[in-house]
Amino acid sequence: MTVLALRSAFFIGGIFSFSIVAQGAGVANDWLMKMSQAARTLNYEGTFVYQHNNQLEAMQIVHRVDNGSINEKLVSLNGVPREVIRDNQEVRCYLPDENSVVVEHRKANGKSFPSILPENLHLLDNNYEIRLGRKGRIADREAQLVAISPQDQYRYGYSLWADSKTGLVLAADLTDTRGRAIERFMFTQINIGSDIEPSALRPRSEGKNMVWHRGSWDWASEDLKPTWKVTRLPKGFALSASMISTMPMRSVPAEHIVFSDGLAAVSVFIERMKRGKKAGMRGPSSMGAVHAYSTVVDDYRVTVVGEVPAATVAQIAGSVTAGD
Amino acid sequence: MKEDLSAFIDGELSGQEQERVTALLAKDADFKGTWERYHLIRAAMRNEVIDVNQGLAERIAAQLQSEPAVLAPQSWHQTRQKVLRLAGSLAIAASVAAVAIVGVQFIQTGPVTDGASGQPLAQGPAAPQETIGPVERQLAVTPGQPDPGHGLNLYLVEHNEFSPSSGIKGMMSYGRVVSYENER
Repeated sequence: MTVLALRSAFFIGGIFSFSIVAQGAGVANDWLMKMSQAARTLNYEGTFVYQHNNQLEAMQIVHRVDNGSINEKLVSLNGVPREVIRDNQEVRCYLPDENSVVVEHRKANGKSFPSILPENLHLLDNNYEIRLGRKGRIADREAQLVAISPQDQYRYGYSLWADSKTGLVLAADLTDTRGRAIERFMFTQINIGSDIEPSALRPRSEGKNMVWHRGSWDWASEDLKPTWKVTRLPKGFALSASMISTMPMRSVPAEHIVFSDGLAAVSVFIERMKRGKKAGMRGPSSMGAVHAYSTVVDDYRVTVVGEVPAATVAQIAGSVTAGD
Repeated sequence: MKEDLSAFIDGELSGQEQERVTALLAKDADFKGTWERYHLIRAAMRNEVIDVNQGLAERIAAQLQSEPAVLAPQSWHQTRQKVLRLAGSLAIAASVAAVAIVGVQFIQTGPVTDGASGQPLAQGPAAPQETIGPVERQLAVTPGQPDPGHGLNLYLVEHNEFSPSSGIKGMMSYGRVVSYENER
């Protein structure tokens, strides 16, 4: 009898703890969607720090939503005052140190800055373990930690601190498989929900004396079936977009194929090289947690870029082949 | 025979020829050793990730870097002959050859079955590679390109737009673009 009771107790206890874990994952997923929603719908402006390698930098961000149209600005507060202005049509990068403004067209029918959608959550759950963490305080606001651990070494983990009230991400760490931070973003001061004047989104420099470089692209090319393929795509990644566009400072169009595991994305760019021209960057390179790998396949330059470990981009770059 | 091996590795042999090479691999230890070295070099050239411990990987990388002909390949096919010469000769020092035999068991999850039993290969060498590790080598950086960052910035702006993590962090992900100057 006692044994039976004990067994039942274990059984019930087991069910109970299982349901807590399952519920925890569901709540954590809800937080992810809340963060994604907040990033699109809220007005906010503030200052954040960005740490990568041994570098620490401060930046200012302004985000204004007006009738569903989003206008935003990012300015570096130390060193060269580089700026990025983003609206519904384009992304403009003002680079005073290079005396240039680089303009890229927004593409892909609202696929840009893709949201975390309920229908994609299963993808995420296959590749990451998502847990609700402790509560804390960031930029003088109460915050909730959502810890996302990778299931394998093809991707990074994330520690996301969301504003308890609105869900807006206040801090984000990218972590390697051992949980060490390799890149950190953290707001130090932020106003959420306040009115923002359109003038706050004007660039400091009008770029009048700068050289403007514009890319171009053809709407019709969107969602074309990729003509190149990746034969050894790391597990968990699936095709999420493909298009053909001409990047600024380029004369020939490039094929751009995007693979995603639900959270991280990897872009593959394939550009035909001009005869006799040097291939430009080759091999591995990185920028914070973003890794890239460039190689040459026949007469094409293949560049793979993503916020994933170096090994992931290297594997993809090594297996890009022309389709049939 | 070396030509056969390289064609075999590239999956260019007919079914019958493949069987012949496979049979030879199973019984000829020298031939198998050569085959393993080819694989190791090819994996290194393609910068495939080799999941061996750091010491071994470093020795392989050092050996490869001492051979500048391999450093800036136009493509695998164009440099294959060079590599084969390199592999066939004793230019690959004994130290590399020694680790190759150990290393290849880590590299290959497909074609190499069991080193001890010498089972014949099940299929060509294009099997998916599942192993992954921390090895990162600068195998093919073109000299005289002082400014790779600018190029990377262009790609990064394009890429940012399609990442779900940008959807969560918003413009913060552009922090990488505006900050990059010091890293170049």
